[in-house]
Amino acid sequence: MPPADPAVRPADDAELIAAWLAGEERAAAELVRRHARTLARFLAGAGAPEADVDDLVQETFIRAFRAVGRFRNQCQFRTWLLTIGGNALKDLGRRLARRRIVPLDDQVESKDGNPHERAEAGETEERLRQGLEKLPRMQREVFLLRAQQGFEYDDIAAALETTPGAARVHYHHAVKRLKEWLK
Amino acid sequence: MTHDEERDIELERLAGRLGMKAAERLDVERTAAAVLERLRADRAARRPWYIQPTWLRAAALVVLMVGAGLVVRGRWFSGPAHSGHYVREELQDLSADQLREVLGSLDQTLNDAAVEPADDDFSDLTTEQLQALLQSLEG
Repeated sequence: MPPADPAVRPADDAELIAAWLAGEERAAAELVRRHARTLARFLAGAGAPEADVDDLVQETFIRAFRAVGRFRNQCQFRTWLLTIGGNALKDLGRRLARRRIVPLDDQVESKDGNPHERAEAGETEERLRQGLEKLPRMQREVFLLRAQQGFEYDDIAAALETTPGAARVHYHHAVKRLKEWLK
Repeated sequence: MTHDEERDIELERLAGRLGMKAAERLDVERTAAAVLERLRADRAARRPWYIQPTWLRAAALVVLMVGAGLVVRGRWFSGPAHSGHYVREELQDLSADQLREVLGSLDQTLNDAAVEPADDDFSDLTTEQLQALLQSLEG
C-alpha cells in the first residue's frame, strides 16, 4: 500500500495551534470541531448541569485559546483542554454557590434536563454520577481522564501537574470508593 | 477473572458511557461559530486604542488633509519670500563696481561648477540693471 499523500494528511493539533497563533481562524474552528464532544462528555461526567454544558464548552475553549501560547506540548492538547474544562466547572460551581445557598455537591449535580432522558441514562449510571460528585476533585478528574477518556497516566499527570505515580494512586482510590458506592 | 476484576471492567464501561447524551446533544458547528465570535471580540478589545479601525481611519484622514494642505501651500508660495526681500536691501547699498565684482564671482562659481559660461559682459550694464540681474538670479 503506497504511503498516504502528506498533502491530504489532516493537520495535527500542534499544527492547528500554530496556525491559530498565526491568526488563522479556521484552525481554531477545527480544534473546536475536533474536541467539543469529548469535552462535553467529560464535563457532563464530572457533574456539569445539563443546561450548562454548552456554555461550559464554549467557556473552556475561550480560556484554552487565550492561554494556548503557554501550552508547550507537555501533554496532549485534549488532556490539557479537559483540565481547563475542570477549572471552568469548578468556577461555575462557585458562582452557583454564591447565588444559591446549597452545598457544592448538590449544586454541581445535575438537576436540570428532561426527566425521561435522565431515566434513560440508567439507574447505575446515575449512581456512578452521584458517586463521582462525592469524590475529591483530583480523584474525580483522574478517574474520568483514565476510565472515560482512556488517557495514559503520564499524560494525565502532566496535565494535572502531578506525577504518574500519584495519578495512579488517585485513580485506585477513586475506583475503590466508587465500587463501595455502587454496591 | 475474579469478581473484583469484573467489577473494575464494569465500572470502566459505565464511565465510558457517562456524558454520551450531552455530547450527542451538543451542536458542534454552533459552538465553533460562537467561540470564534467571542475570540474576535476578545482580539478587538485587546488591541491598543491607536490601532483600532476607527482611530486608524481618523489618523489616515488627518495625514491626507495635512499632505494636501502642504501641496497647495507649496504651489501658492513657491519661493522663499523673505530671503528675496533681504537680498534686495543688501544690493541697494552696493556700488556699480561692487555689483560687477559680485556678478564676476558668481560667473566664476558657475564656471567652476561646469555650467556653460555666460556670454554676457557686465561692464556695459548700469547699476539698476546689475541690481535687477542679481535679484533675478536670487529668484
